[in-house]
Amino acid sequence: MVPDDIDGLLEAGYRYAFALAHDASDAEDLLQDAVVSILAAGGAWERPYLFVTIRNRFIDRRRRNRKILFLALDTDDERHEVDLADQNWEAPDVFSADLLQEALGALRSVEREALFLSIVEGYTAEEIARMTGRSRGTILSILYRTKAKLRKLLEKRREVL
Amino acid sequence: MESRKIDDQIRSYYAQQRPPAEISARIKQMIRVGAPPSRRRVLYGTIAAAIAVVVAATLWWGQTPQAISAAVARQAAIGHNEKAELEFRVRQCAELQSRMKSLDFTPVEPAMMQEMHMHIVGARYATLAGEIAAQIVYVDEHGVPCTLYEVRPAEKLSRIVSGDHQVDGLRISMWKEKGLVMVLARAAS
Repeated sequence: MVPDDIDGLLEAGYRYAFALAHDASDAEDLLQDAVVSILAAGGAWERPYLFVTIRNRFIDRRRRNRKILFLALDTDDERHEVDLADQNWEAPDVFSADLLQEALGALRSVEREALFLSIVEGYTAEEIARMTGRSRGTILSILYRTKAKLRKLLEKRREVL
Repeated sequence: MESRKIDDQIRSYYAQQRPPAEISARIKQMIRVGAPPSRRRVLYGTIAAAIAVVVAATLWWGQTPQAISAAVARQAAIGHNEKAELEFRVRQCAELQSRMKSLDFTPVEPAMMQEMHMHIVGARYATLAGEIAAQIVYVDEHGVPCTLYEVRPAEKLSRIVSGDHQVDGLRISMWKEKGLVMVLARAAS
């Protein structure tokens, strides 16, 4: 059954596709392909199902283009859970200065995906782990390292300016 | 420079990412129209269409131009209703010229598509009356799709009669333009 808030669902799907691809045109194609897949399969019009379908389409495309996706990160490391609270630092307005766009573009897909699902969509590490087929510890590691990497990238870009 | 929490800035960044209105409208139209056939149904449909093509090709020898046109119209209608997956997604017809390299002609945009304010979505290889063809999908401003076949006027296709046919609730128009045979399948209303 199609939800009442189909606009909200499509916008969320587009943003997730954009987080993966970091390209507007690719995000449009991914969203359209995912919708066609859901229609063909008679799947549910629910956010997690749409996200997983978009993710599968993204992986298919990358495989076709022979790009290596989602490189393995190191093993589970639960100690990062405590540190995450310190990872939301006060930063100069890098969003308005367009520095954030550049820095996010320098991250890998797996890193942007984890950031998006955690910060924008508000999923827990456990939920992201289920959606992406990884362990909760690995998700926490990805989030920790991605935040640290993002901070360094932003600092470097600000120094250049 | 004013300071804000980095998480808030990341949320602001993604909040400003939205699909273009045209894309949203097209996708919602797809959802309203309903499901395309499943892969298995597409496979059976493809097999049935292939058999139909072989039978039709056999019967076409000695057929009248009207009969050939009617058979091409039926095949175009089947192809339109199948909604087979597109192999090339493009924004302009000109992109097909460099991407559909296996064609034995250069795909072009008929003047009619511009007059009707149709937007190209993509294309795939197909056959029409046994000849390799470009099966091109366009949508109108409401996201309603139509299927355009472009093919060289070889063999039987050279005898096609320009005009309209009604098949399975579809309006099939065929004409010759820029040295090619054009066959357009769209909703009759």
